[in-house]
Amino acid sequence: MVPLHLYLPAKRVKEQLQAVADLAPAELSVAIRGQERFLGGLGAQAESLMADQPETRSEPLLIDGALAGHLLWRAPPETEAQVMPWIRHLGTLFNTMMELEYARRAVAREALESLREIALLERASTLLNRSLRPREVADALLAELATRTPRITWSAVFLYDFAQQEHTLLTTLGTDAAPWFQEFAASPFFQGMVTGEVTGIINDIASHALCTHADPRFRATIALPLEAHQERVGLLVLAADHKEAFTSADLKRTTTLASIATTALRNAQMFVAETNMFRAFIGMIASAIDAKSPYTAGHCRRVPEIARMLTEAACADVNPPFHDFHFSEDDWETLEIATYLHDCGKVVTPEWVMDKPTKLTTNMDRIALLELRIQLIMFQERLRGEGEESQRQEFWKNQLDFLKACNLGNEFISPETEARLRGLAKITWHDLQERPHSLINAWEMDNLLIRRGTLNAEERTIIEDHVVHTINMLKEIPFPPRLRHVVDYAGGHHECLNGRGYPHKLTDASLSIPARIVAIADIFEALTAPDRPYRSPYTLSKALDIMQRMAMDGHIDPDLFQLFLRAGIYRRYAETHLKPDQIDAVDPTRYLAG
Amino acid sequence: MDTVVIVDDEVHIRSLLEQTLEELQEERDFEILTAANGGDGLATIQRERPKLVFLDVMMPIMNGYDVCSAIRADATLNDTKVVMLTAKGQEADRQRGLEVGVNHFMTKPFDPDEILKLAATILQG
Ligand SMILES: [Fe+2]
Ligand SMILES: [Fe+2]
Repeated sequence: MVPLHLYLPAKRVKEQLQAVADLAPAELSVAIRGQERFLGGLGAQAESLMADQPETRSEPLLIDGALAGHLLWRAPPETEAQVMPWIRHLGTLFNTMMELEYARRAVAREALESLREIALLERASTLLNRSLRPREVADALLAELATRTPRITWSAVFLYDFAQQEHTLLTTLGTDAAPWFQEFAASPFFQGMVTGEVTGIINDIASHALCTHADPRFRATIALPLEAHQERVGLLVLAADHKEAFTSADLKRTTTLASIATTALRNAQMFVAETNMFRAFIGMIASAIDAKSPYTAGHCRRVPEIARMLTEAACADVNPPFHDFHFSEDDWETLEIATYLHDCGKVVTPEWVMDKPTKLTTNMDRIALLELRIQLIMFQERLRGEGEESQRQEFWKNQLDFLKACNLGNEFISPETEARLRGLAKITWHDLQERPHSLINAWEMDNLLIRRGTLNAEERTIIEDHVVHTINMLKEIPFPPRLRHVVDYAGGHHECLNGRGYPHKLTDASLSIPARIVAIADIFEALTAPDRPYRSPYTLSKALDIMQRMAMDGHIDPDLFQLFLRAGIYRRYAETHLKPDQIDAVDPTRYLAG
Repeated sequence: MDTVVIVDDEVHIRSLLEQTLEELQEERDFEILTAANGGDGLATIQRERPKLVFLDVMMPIMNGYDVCSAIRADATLNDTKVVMLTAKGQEADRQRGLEVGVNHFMTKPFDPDEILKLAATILQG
């Protein structure tokens, strides 16, 4: 039924009738009546005129050929000749007004449709281009569709996988939609959607040739392949639980939104591909560093795992000081990159310094030279006819054992040891020109006198410089703002809360929680690493003992260490990464602060 | 019958808003009146006491802020809701609009569905 009052407003009818009222014959009654209401009239009987009264005459009022109401009138028969021109005039007038109004509204509808489309495009392109994660783009699309078309009960986006040449479910919206769509993806009906045989609106699924199921929850659908530049990106499926749920306006809106989403999805896919490539590079660098030394093998791959576990624990902890510690997706990515690359500076550290197994190691262990010189000295003594052979053998075997022990670096050099070394240095051998040389040269003496470990001061600097190299190398990478903290997280792993770390002697005031986490992960991995050049691997309890001391003297963050223990991270890590004989009984209460 | 007044000096904005609201007229009865400047607009508003006013900002004779201030100063117009039509990118206008008592803002080019949703809510209340 056409609503006459919209095309012929009562106000206008009144205006027109008033304009002619004085000229019309007094006996004439006129009424304009739509299907359901009286719009206006003239004369005493106007409001009582009805189309079905035998004495009332009528002219049809048409809108685009359809009956919308009547122009009704009644007049004494003798005045008809006088009245008819008036009636014809009014009929033409009102029909013309309606026609113009009809045309105006048609144009207006088009204009409003365009405005709607612009508004939708604008809103959708902001919404759908907000994220570069395919899943988030697809979720935004489904959410927008759901608000615009409430009849959708379930919806899903499938992503096309080029390598596998198949569509995989990316995301869904609706109660229990995910398992349903998983199952649906195996049906011939879905295959029809993939091939394009089933496309657009299917308002009665049950009657479709490819439909093999009778699911009362799935009666109507809109299926749209998502394509950009003739390349398949994915597939959009909307479902409703009743027949005839979707209109062509729904399809139009869905198509508009889907086209923007497709571009956004493709951009997101490209971004993911670039990110994956970057990650592969990071993995490659981590592998290169790990491959440089058999002793630190896997370090760069295990530190990220420990750091992730500890960060997860900090996020989950509701107690101070971690109750408002949060990690965003970008933070997680930052942490992953930072931990993989925390030792990337080691690519420039000479291998023999990195794992220096003995004090006299350069690119070879120079203890062999000492042994050769001893052989030479014994030979030259023999030539000179000095001493007795068996005593000589005995004496030099002792000295060599002593030198070898000093070379290992696991014992403290006492004043007596130093005196003995200096005494040995006085013994000489002679070259071809008969010039005397000391058994132990100055460089060798400096190294043998190293008090702890195997590294001399210069080598320690070289080792410590790896963080400087890490920082400098990472600063070369133009990280986007969301990853701007990579250098901070990675570069602080040898800093200490008490300011005694390196390279910048930072203090707790400037060390972020993630940087502290990386430091703990680095230390725990290094302590428990199954292979070290000059010692057998520590047991779990020994490693925790050492870390407890570090926590007490301000080397590592005590709160994080407590969390590390409380959350059982050391145990979970040990189960998968340590040798069985390293895993001894640990009593965490021994370490937890009372 | 409820009345809605559209005050905008640009004829195409007036007519688009009118056409948008006509869609709502198919469901409920209300009258739409228009004015092409702030002065006429305020006179119409004070005479008709509409439930809802769509108000442009930059207009001859009297700008939108002043019209809105005048509406808020008139106790008989307490129930009149004012929707200010702002141009895109003039977010600073909002602060001033809020200060003179604007109830809602719409950015041109407007979304017909948002206009309809807003008008329906206001006319219902
Ligand atoms: Fe390091
Ligand atoms: Fe490390």
